[in-house]
Amino acid sequence: MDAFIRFQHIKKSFDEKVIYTDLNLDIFKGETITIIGGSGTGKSVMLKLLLVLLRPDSGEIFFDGEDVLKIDEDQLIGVRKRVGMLFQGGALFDSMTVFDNVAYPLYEHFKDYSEEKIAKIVHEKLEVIGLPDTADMMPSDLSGGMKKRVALARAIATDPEVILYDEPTTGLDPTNTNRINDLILDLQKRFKVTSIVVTHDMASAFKVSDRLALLYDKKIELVGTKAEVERSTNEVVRKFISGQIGE
Amino acid sequence: MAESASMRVTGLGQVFAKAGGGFLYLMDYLGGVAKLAAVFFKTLVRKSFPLGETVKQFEEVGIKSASLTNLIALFTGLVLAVQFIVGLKRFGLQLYTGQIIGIAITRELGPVLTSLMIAARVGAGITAELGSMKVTEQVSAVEAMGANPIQKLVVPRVVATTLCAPILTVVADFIGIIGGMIITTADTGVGARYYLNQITTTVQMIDFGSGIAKTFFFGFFIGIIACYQGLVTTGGTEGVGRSTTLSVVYSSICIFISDFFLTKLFLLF
Repeated sequence: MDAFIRFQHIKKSFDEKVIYTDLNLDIFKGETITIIGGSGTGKSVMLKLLLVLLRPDSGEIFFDGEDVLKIDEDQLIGVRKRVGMLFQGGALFDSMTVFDNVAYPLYEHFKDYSEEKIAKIVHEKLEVIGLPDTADMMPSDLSGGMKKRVALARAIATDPEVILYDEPTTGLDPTNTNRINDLILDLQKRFKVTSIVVTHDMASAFKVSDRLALLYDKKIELVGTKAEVERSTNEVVRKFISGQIGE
Repeated sequence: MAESASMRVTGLGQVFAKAGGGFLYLMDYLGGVAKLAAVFFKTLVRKSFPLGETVKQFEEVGIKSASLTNLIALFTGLVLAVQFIVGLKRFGLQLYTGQIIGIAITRELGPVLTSLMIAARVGAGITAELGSMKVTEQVSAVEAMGANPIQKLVVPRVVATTLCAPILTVVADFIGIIGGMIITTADTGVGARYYLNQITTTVQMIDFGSGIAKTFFFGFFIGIIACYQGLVTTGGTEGVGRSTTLSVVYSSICIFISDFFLTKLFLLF
């Protein structure tokens, strides 16, 4: 099976700090893969490289057969239209209501949509994330968990084929963590999206993933199914799962 | 002896190293601002103009700053008149206070003080807003959703500061002259008509025009520096505070330095 998304020989550094020396990873259509690894290992950077919010020093990143680093701006916007991203802190626009936040990507990507159609989609997405009555609220009126869910509604507003989750459960209480994990599973089941989840929360990783990839020592140390990772005798993997490394 | 010479060399080396580091930082900063300015013009020409957001920024930059710039202009006019009357009285020339106030305000003080107020109020606000957006990944979110952050965030703000600075300066010039008139008529016994007549005969179009022309540049510098400083913000809320301070400092320095060169340039016409 051909990879839907492929990171190939990626090198990346910020000034003196080397993030990846040779990062390679294949992601297949319809799967949920979780990137696990310690803080500062470059998990979130992978998501930003895929959307070309950052550029690698060298290497190639393929999305549906196209190298996203070699396409022009219009083609890149086309790729971004097919990908939704949930940012770590939600990244909701403070100056806009929940409705306008969720509607934002629709206004950007579907300029021919009527106001009624956009309103219908926004309310549908707020329904999906279980916050139907928040449309007129400002982000500052929402709790941390609610912000994440609204950010998720914004990420899925354009019905993307791929959803990127950057630390979706970080800073949330157990109830909201479960809620977000259930939403990830629900979206996967209902819309058959390809999901890339970045987290260091192992319980969430095992709950939502089809496969896991461990980022360690500036490269992907291991990729495997949940069972393979659990059975792995790799010392780094064992230590990471047992919490001896990571922070 | 040898030890003290070596310490002197080390000390000198440190001075050069510091100066070199400062020079590299300055070049890097100017390069970053110039690059953003180039992208701004490219986006302005090639992309659709964000009219709605620009109108919103006009309100923020123009209408909401007017009371502050007008207050500063009024008191500048008042204090200028007080000071010039004291000085000119020594030569018995206090009747000509209006002429000096007219030239000083239209050529220099109106444009520079108004621009400094815009840098302090609006420039700081822009940097704080964009800086907060940067550290909370809202700028990345704009980009991730297929929008162009330069078109959405930078173009409206820079256009607004560039066009509002001259408009605010025209009003400030007028108010400053009125401020001067209040004191001159009260303290010297000169009539308001005489004062205004002196100004209209002394202040030529080139005086007024060169002052206003400078503010297009000042407004542009304020907007582009504020946006650049906001977009390079790192380090959370502390970083936002640091960026906001730097934005006002750099904009103010830029206004004073460019004021000298622009004044010399406009004297050629």
